Parts: sequence; C-alpha cells; structure tokens
Amino acid sequence: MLKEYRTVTEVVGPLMLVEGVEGVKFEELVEIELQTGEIRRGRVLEIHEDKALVQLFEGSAGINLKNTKVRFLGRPLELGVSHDMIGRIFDGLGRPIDDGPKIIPEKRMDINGVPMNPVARDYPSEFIQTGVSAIDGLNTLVRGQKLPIFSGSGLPHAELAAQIARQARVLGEGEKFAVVFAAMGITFEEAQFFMDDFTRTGAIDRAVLFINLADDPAIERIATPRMALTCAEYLAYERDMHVLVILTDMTNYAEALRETSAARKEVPGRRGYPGYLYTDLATIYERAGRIKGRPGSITQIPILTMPEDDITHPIPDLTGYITEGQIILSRELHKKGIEPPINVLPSLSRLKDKGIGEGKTREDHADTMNQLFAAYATGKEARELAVILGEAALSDTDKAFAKFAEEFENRYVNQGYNNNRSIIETLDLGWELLKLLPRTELKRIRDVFLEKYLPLETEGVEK
Amino acid sequence: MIYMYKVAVVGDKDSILGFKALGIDVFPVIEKDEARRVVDTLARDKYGIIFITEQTASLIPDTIERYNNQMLPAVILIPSNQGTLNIGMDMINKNVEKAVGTNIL
Amino acid sequence: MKVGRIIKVSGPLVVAEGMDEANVYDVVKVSENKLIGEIIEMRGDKASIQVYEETTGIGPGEPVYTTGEPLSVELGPGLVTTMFDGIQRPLDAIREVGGDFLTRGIDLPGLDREKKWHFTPTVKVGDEVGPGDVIGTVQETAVVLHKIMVPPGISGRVKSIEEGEFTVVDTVCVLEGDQEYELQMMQKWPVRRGRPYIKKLDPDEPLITGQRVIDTFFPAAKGGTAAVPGPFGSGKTVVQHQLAKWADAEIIVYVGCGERGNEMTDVLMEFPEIKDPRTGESLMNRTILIANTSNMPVAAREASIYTGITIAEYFRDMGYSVAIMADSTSRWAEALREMSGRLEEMPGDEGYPAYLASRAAEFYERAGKVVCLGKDNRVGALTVIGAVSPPGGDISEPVSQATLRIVKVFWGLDSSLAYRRHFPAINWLNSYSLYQNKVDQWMDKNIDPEFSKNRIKAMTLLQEESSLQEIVRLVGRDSLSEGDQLKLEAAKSIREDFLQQNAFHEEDTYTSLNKQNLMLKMVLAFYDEGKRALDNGVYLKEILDLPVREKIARAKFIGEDRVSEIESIIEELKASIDELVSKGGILNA
Repeated sequence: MLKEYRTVTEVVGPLMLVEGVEGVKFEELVEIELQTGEIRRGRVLEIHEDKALVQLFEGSAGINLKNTKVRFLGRPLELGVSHDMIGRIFDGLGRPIDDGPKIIPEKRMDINGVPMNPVARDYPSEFIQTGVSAIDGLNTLVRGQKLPIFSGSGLPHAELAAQIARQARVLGEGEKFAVVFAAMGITFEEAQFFMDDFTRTGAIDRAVLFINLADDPAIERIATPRMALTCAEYLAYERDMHVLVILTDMTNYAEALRETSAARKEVPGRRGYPGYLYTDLATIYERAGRIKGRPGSITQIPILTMPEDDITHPIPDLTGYITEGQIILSRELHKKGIEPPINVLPSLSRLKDKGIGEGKTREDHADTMNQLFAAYATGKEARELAVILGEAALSDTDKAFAKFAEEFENRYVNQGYNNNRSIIETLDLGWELLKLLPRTELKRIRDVFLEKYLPLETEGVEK
Repeated sequence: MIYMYKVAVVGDKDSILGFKALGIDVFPVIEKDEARRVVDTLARDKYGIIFITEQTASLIPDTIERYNNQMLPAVILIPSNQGTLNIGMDMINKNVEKAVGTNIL
Repeated sequence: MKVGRIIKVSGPLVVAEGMDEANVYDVVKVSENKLIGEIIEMRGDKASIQVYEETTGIGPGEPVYTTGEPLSVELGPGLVTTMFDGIQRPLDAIREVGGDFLTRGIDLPGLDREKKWHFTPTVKVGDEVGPGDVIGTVQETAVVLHKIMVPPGISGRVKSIEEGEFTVVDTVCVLEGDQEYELQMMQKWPVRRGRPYIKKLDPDEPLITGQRVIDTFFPAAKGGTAAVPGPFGSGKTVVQHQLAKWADAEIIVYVGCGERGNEMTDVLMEFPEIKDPRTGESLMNRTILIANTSNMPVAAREASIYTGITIAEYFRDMGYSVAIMADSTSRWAEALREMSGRLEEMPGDEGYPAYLASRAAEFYERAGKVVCLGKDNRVGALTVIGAVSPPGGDISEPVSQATLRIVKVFWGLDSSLAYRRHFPAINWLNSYSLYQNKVDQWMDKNIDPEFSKNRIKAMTLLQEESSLQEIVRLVGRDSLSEGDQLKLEAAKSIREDFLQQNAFHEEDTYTSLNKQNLMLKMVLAFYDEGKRALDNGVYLKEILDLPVREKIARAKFIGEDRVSEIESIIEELKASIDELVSKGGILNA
C-alpha cells in the first residue's frame, strides 16, 4: 500500500512542496487527490532531505493545503504503449479523449526516454518526398532528420505541416508509415483543422494524436512532446515503422518551461528562459533518428512561431542549433499570396546532400539546386536594385534574373496546399525556370547535365 | 585659369564638314574600328563635348555606352545628312527616365 | 572508506552528507546504481556532486561511495580510432553491453584490458631513464607510432624490459633505484591538471588546413589557439570537420560537446573512408573522438573537453603535433552555468558563473608548442580550435567575449554569407589571425617569396570592395569609373574563385599551399592585367568577356597533380590581354 501524505506546506504557481516524505526519488510520478476526489498528476523536481518539490501538470487551482492527499508512485511518468494507439486521439498526458475503448498497454515506457548511443546511430540518408517543391528540390528532407518549421503568428504553418503529413512518402517502397502528432497549447480551431484534414484524407488511420489545447493546463505541455516521442519510439523501434512526428507549437512548450523555472526562482538566461532551455529542447529533438540494424525511423518536424518574427529569439535560435536545418516561412511571401510561403534562401536542410543524387533522386539534383539558389538570390538582389534605381538601371542579365526570381516564386514555390509534385516534376520545373536565364550564367551546373537536360535548341532568352 | 574644353564632331565626312565653319574640330571616319579609336583618343585628349552622327554611333554602341556613364566627355548624338535614326532621342528619353523616374517628355 | 548518504537531488546535482573523508574533485559512485559523479564543492561534511549520468529514480538516503581519486583518463595504446563519452567510456563497448540506448551505471575502463599490443623496447637494461623518456613503442595504427613514456615523477635504472605482446596493464618494464617501479603501457592522469613539459615555445609554423581562406588569410599556428564563432546554419561544424579532416596534425582529437548526435555519426561513417593526402591511410587512423551529444547528461559535457585535451596532451608529450577541435565550447559553458545555478552561486553575465572567463582561459592555455619531458628534447605542439555558438549570432555575449580575449585567431562566421551560399562563410572583413606575421615569414621562406605581398594585395582589394559596394548601393554600379568597376570584378573573382571552397567536392575540399599560392597569383593577375589593359584603352566589357575567365573560375577543380595548369591559365590571360591591347588600345593606334 502506498503511503499517503497530507503534508503539503506550500503551493506556488505550478509547484507544490510536500514535507516529511520518505523514500521519494527524483523524477518520480506523483498523484494528488483533492478534497473533491479529483486526481491530478505531478512529478518530483527536487528532493531535499524530507522535502519534495512537486511540479503539477494540471495546475494548482483548488488545492487545499489541509485536505489534499499526495501519493508517490515509485515510478517516473510513463506511457502505456500499444499498436492500437494508431488512429486514436489522446490528451496531453496520454489519456484517450476520443470516446474509444481504453488502450491495453503492451508495455509501459518512461516518457523521458534514454539517449541514443551515438555509435548506434545510422546516418539519415533516405530521401523523403514531401511533394512540396521548395522542400524536395531545395531543402530536402531525409529519414531520421529533425527539420523544424520556423513560422510567425498568422502564417499558414498548419497547412504546410498537414500537407507534409499527407503527402510524405519514401520513393518506391511500401513500408509501414505512421504520423504522430503532438499539439501543445494550440487553439481548438487549429487542432480541429488537423483532425479534419487527417480524417478527410484518411491519414487518421495511420496517425496518433496528442492534443493539449490552449485552455488545457500549461504545465501538461512539458509532458506532451515526450508522450508523443515515446509513442513514436515504440512504433519505430519495436514495430519497425517509419514515424513522422509533428510537434506544434514548440514556443508554447518553452513558455511552459519558463513558467516552471520562474516559479522555482531560478536564475534566468536570455529573455527569462531558463539556462537549460538548450539541453531541454535537445532531449526532445535528439530523439529523432535511426538505429543501425533496426528498420524503423523517427523524423521530426517541430513547428514554432517566432515571437515578432525574430529568428534570434531564444526559442528559434536554440532550436536551430540542435535541429538539422530549418524551413522558414515568410510574411512577405504570404502577403503576396504564395502558398506555401517558404522563404527559400535562409531555409536549409543540413542533411540534403546525403539524400539526393543518382539512385536517390536524380543525378542533376545537386547542381540544379545550387544553381536555383544562386539565381534566386541574384534575382532578388536585382529586384531590390530595381526598386531603388528603377527598372532602367538594370542590365539585360539582371533583368533576366529579376524575371527568374518572379517566376520562381510564382511557379516553383507557389504550388498550393493540395498539389503533390513528384521529385521528377520538381526537378523538371527547375530546368524550365532556368531556361529564363542566359546559358552562360548557369555556372554551377556541370556541362554534362546542361547538355542532357537543356539542349541548345531549347535555349531561352538570348542576349 | 579655368580649363577650356574643346568640342569635336565625329561622323561621315559629308555630314560633319559644315561644323568646321563653326570652329569645331571635325574627325571624319568611315568604319567601326576607326570610329572607336577616334572617340577614345578624343576622350583622352580632354574634349568636353563630342558630337557624333547617329549612323556612326550605331556602329560602336559599346563606346557610346562607356562614355554615357562618365561625366566627361558628353557624347551627343546628332542626325546626319541622311536623316535621323531616332537613337539620339531614345537615349535622351532613357536618361530622363533614369533621372526623374518617369518619362516626362 | 566511509560511505556517504544522499540528502538532496536536483537534476544532475546531488548533495550527500558524511563525506568528510573525501576530497574536492574526487570521483564518487552514487547510489546502488553506481552512477559516476564528481565532487565539486565541500561544506562541512556535505559534498555537492555533479553526476555524469541521469539521476532519475535517485532519492535521499541512498549511499555514495568515494573512490579517493580525481577524475582521470587512461592513457595508452587503444585510444586512437575509438569514440569515447565525456568521461572516457568507450561507446562501442557500451553498446555491446547496454544496447542501442545509453543505460545507466555501466562501468567500463577507458582502454581495452584484453587486447594485446606488440611492444618494442627502445631502451636496454641498465639505462637510466627519467620522466618523459621513451622506453618503447607500439604501432597503434598504420600511422600512429605510440611511444610508451615514463610517467611524470618517476625515474630509475631499467632492471628488466622485454619485447612481446602485452595488454595495457601488463608490466613491460621494471625500474630500480631508490624505489622499484613496475611500468605498464597505460598511465593515468587527472583531467583537470595540465600534463607537465619542460618549456613553452613560440608558435611560428602554420597549421596547414588546406582551406584557402584559412591558410592564406587567417592562418593558425601549430601550438596556437583559434575560435570559430557563428550563428546556426553558418557552417561551424563543417569548418570543424574540414579542419579535423585536413589539418596537417599527426593526431586529431575531436570533441563533440553538446552537439547533434548525427554529426558524430557522420564523422564515424565518413572518416574511415577518407584517405589522408600525406600518408595515404584512412583519416580515422589518427583520430580520437569524444562524444557528448546534446541529449546526453549535461555534467559529462563539462568533463568532456577536459578529457579531450588531456588525451591530446598525452600525444603531444610524444613529440607529435596534435590538434583538438571542441564543438562547441558554448555548450560546455552552458553546462557550467547549469551546475552553477543548481549550486545557487551568485550569477554573472546572463547567468553564467563569474569564473567562466578564467575556466575558458585555463582550457585554452593548455595549448602550446612545447619542449616535452624526456632527454631527447623532442618538440610537440597542441593546437586548440574551439567553436562558439553565440545566441542569435551576437558575439557580444559572455562566452564569445571570454573566448576572444584568449584566442589568437578568430574566424568569424557570417550568416549573410551562408545565405548567399558562400562557404566557408568566414567573414574576411572581421576575422583576424595574430600569427600572421610569423606565418608570413614562414610562407615567404617555404612557399613563395611573394606570398605575403600577394596576400596583402588581395586583402586590400577586398577591403576596397566593401567601401565601393556602399557607393554602388547608393547610386548604382554604372556611376563608378571603369577602374573601380574592374576592382569590383577582381574582388568578386577573389571571393568566388578563391575564397569559396566546396567541402563536398573531391578536388576542392583540400588545396595544398602550392596550389593556393598559384590560385592567388592567378586571381591577382586578372586584376593587374585588366588594369594594364584599361590603361591602354581597352574597354572593361571586353576584359570581362574574356573566355579565359571561365578557366579562372574552374581552376579550383584542377587536381593537385596538375597544378601547373594554373600557370598556363595565367599565361593565357596575359596573352589574351596582349591581344586586346594590340587590337583596341589607343596607344598603339
């Protein structure tokens, strides 16, 4: 029989102090029974002699110091996992909320996970086709990668994430694929959008959803991504599935972390976020990957909204240091009506070089990618110049580049949320756009490919 | 002492000879390389204004472009005795557009 | 020894009482799981312990055992090619024992106790040997001859020594004298203390890295210190990897400190495949890896760079040139900050402890070119290259500032260059190297007497470009004189044809000094010759349209065995300029 304590001496924000405890362990799961009979959960953050500091996942409202009963369960916060979780919807702490039957767990796993041995990691190198040109062609996603979407408030990151979840597949294989979706502090509408989209396209049959809405307890959000990743790890490494994990919105997660940190009166780092924000985020993001000798994989697409669109804000900044690149959405493109408004130039996929080329996508991929990047950058510069000095100040080449940049945005990036382009279509579209430029400007493409994919007679604008 | 710039006119002999009466140095040219060399030399010799016939100018666009971007010499296109090709006017239009942002002519 | 009792657990910090017999910096084993920790503070009989493993499930009342020894590394054959965690546990052996995930409480020695090495003595019975003297050698890998040295503080006459197959803990040599010593191939050294040497020398020889912007413009010296700060996405890790691959050091220690797991995997997969251009052997044969990825316990991150540098010092003591890359020291500083916060110390700037700068200085000061212990006065060098990850790319933050005060070379990475896909994104306007003068002398003597002159010329062009660019931004390029436009073109050529280097192209990834010298000459020749042509009345457009420019742009892809082709490009350039001058020049008119 578990000991019950009625020795709560302090409740501050999401934290609670219990005195006179015995045998309590660090990170242990705590059950709190309110005078009303309501059961809440928490975990041990710190123990000093017989005092335990407990973090409450569901907030402290209504806790009575006298009558509240506290039980220490002797195990860390765990998630009961099972193959039956696929197709189900859970709350932020892993309890079903979709009126379905109870999950009978096949095993219970610590939601904090265990770091992967770097020696056991397999380097991500398999191309994932998302059907989005700006990603497939220029910022290629590979299996086992963690590639966040940096967005801003009011930008259509949800549409893009849903599109990726719907379209993502690996070329030429019929392997088992699943989506694990974790929502942290997003609005009901946004969550509903995902659920509707998943239901409409049938993606729900291969998805697991963990939903913590904006009006759910904030501290619960600290557990939500870990729940999702624990489920993903189970599906990937024990059920051999390829799992795509979408975490939205990491900004809300970090704010919840800040709330706890502030309640503990810790010395804050930048902008009030705790000094260990980097380490904490890493324990989430680094759970993406592949293991040698196991068929499954975990690919992560965390979404975060940059406060004031500021990429140097601690959340996007620290995320960028951990993840393998980033996809950045642009307000400017969004206002122009480009769908999805991916700002190609500052976006980056660090693992793209391993996932493209002959046998994976196509031999000319790397060269055209570099050329498109360079040409778009030059074209954008030319366009800026034209704004200052007038169109007349541009040379013919500059004009060609400016035109290219325009077309590139309108045709390559702007494809709509329901358009699924194969990688071959994306690459061919790239060549078509490059025709707008004088052949001599295509310096980054090897001559062999120029001859093969852009034969002389089809050459575009002549000088 | 203020430096006095000289004025020259370049083109086919028939079109430009009359300028001599005004005291302007005339440089008759026929073909492309010659025209280019003459204009370059004049520019070097501190001619402040070089009039050039449109016919001759059309042979050496690079040279015209080059001096367009420099303050001196001012290279000014004039019609020849065979009439105008309108490139002189085009250039003025373009320069106006560049200076004021819109064509006010 | 007395057993302590845990009274407090707060993340990686554990406080135990009844520890009065232990010393500060002693290693302890925490709880029945035997988690490894280190005492960082003592108050009365209460010890604050930083634990190198996850503390989940640990609680007050559990025992703490002291070992009475400071945190040490094992030094001997078996280090090279291995990947260790932050406290020198071999990760591949851990995987065999504990599986694909890092489970706790696995206690494995740093060096393999079973493996036998062939020991060849270099001293005879009766020889007098002292600290640092080499008593024998082991061919550890194809390129590393591991010298077995007498540990510091021990000397005597060789009583017995023999050749043969031994494990690292077998006695290979016995010394007699005031006291008898049995020497094994393995020795231990505490990580927080620098290994002794006779004296430090001034670093004057460049560390050749094959990276053009580094070797030519901002060279590091063997035995020097360098820092690579840059925001994320600016290519810090690629620069570090390139240095680890191509730097002409005999031993490379690569410390992945709080960075991505996949990056370490990348090193592990890639290095064995790459051939060292100097030895023809796989690069892995000279590399030691220390991995504490960002999701591994934070306290071990603090230890990892000390573990790395102690191993590096050990190889330096053999008389080798060693380079250590730490990626990234910011994560190490953050680990310090986290421990400091949990110890409730008074914070300094941005929550970092007040001793951050002195800790960083201590670490970088362990670099140097030194005369090693031992009678043969051999010279070893230890170069330290630290990456710094400033939040938001703003180097006014404490870690960058603490680092910049100490290091002599600064390679400032710039995200705007990276956005333009200019790699390596080292900003040539704000980077510097304080070894420049010494290295210039070396280059002029060993590579080309003109080298430093050319370098200064190229740098001047780049500086002038940046001021010209400001004018261009205001009034457009056309308003510049042709001479200035040529300058812009020449600077662009320096940027694109010389500074940009593709780490993933088989020829471009490494450039020998000889080729760098020729390439520099080539891009400068374009400016000189272009200027000559302009002076002679040739139009700028004609110079820019020369077909030879295409060859200049592609010169970086010329193989090392065909570098003379670059000279012929210069000849061709001169010839085509001559032709232009004779055709269109006024003076010849």
